[in-house]
Amino acid sequence: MASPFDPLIQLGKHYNEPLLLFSQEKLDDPYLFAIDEAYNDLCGLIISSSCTPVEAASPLIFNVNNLLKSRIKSFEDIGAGLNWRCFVKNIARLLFEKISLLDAQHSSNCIINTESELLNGIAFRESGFFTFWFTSDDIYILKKELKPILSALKTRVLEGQSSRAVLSQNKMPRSIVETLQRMFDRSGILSAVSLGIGASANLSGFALEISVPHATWWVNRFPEGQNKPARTAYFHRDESCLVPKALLYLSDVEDDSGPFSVCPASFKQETSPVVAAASRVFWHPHNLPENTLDKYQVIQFTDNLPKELNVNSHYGFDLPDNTSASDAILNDETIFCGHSGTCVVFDGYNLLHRGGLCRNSPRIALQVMLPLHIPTFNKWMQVLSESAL
Amino acid sequence: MNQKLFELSKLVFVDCGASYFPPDTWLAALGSPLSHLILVDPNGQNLTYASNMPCKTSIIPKALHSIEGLKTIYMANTDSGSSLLPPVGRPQCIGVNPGYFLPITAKSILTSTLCRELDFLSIPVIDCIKLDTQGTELSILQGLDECRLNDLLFIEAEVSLQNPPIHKNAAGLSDFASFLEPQGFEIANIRLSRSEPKDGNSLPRPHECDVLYIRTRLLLGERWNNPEILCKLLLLANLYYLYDYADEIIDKFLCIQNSLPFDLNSLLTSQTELRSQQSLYLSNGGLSLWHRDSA
Repeated sequence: MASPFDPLIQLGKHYNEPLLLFSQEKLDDPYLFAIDEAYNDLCGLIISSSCTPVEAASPLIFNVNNLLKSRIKSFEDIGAGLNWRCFVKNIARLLFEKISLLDAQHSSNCIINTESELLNGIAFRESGFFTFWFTSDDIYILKKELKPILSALKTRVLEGQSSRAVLSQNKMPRSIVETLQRMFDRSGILSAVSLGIGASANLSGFALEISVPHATWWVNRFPEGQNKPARTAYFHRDESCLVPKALLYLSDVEDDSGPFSVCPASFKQETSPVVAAASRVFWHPHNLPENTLDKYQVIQFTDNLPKELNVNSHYGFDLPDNTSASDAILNDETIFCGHSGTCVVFDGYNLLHRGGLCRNSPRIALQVMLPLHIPTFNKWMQVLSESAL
Repeated sequence: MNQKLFELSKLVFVDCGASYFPPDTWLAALGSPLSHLILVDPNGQNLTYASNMPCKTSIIPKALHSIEGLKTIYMANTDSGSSLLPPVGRPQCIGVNPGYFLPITAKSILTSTLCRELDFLSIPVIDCIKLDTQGTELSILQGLDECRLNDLLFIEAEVSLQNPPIHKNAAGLSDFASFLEPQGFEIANIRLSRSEPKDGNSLPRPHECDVLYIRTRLLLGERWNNPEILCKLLLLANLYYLYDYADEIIDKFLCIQNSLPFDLNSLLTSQTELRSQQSLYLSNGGLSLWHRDSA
């Protein structure tokens, strides 16, 4: 049964034929992978659970190659052969991420020491998120160490800057990383995520950001036929399934200061891994050498994509208000307001979420990446790089 | 001891969530080389005692469920708390006795079904099953094929009486009833486990039970006339101290004794000796699960 939280359904691209051979249940079975017949040239593929990762990769690449060969000409005709190659290769890359995660889940072994780790871990597994509250002492120490960075960002706010890139800082001094490591170790968040996702989570990668009411990044994009931003603006899923995240408020966050929110019902509602991968590639233009095409050619490229692959992981921007798809998301939206120290840990790949859409008072938040340790990931990437793609 | 009863019944027992020792209820039958004991536990090392049993034994070192696939097993600090279900249904229970569950090791495990494992061992029929797997008892039964479930005669399972149960989504008594009653089973016995009350004057509340489901005359239909089935039922009824039911089966044998392919007197002698042995066992302080209510 189609879920209202599947991007294909959201975009009104319903299909009646049994297009997707992949169900959520099958996702639990490593290597049981079926590429849907999203395109006539893509044949169904099932990789047996007895395969080694490398054996499993070969037929996948073979099939992706077939897809490439069979369609490349039509894209070359519009000067987009390179885009198509890149598009397909990135789909394969994201599929390999998923397979390598299944590898890790297959041999996961996680020790849980406290009741809260256990409860949070199960919540993360079943719902894709949980909330943790750091103590005021922890936050006091962290903010003290972040003070120079925060001051610089606040100066930019006072200068009237509104770009997200300018109002955020990704690099953190070692001392702050060590403080965060201590906080997260004590909190049991890493153990809970490891239990919830079935692979060992680490602390690596940060983004400290001030969200301001005068920011324009989310207000200038309208759905087709509408002259204001969608009420679902910026609802999206993340690109990688290997990087769960934690969002730590460093200011008190109210309804109007861009609180983080999720749609619990959207958790793991994407039915096809190929469509899911395509939607991420389409959104992240750095994955496509767009600069090789002019604007007209980009439109031609996307128009030439099979409709099932012409999807976008950030579809909240494109949903017109007062449609059933928009209403389903808004009715399900769970908003996290809270004091400084509130931390929402979430699986952004599997859960629709958004945040930072500040309307009044600014929000200061630190996003912490919790990348998973995936022992076979490099092997998969090697397989991909050595393929003919 | 007269082996007639064992000889005619040749019972196949399955112990899911097997412990370090055989179930005391079955001991008399397990002393016979004609019985077959199948032990199921993902930690096969727990089951080394099987090699010393007089009966035939088989080991299934797997975690069973209604479907095959990748799952997580939560290995509690105390062996008896381990389960495929996380113990988060009643968080306060962890707090009361943290050392029982914590630390927990969560490990990935590939589950199998009872049907697949019995197929692998080429065992077409099982007669009696005991399930104690911290909440997945019903799932394991649901992993049995229709044919074997239809042949199954006695089911003993530990079932939580708490709402919600400690192990999240563990099947309750009503779930068992919904599944087993349409299959032709009814409850023959329930043994309650009760929590120690804080106030000595308070009645202790039950938190879980061992429930025994059996096939009775009414639910057996035509099979009530089958001597082979009746022999199996007779031995099981005696093992579980359901002597009234055993006597009902003997009455049936008396009605059809002219057509029986064996000597009924020898069977009756065997039954008498079994009951004497059980009586002696109990009077010598032997343990029987079904004779003790625990607090």
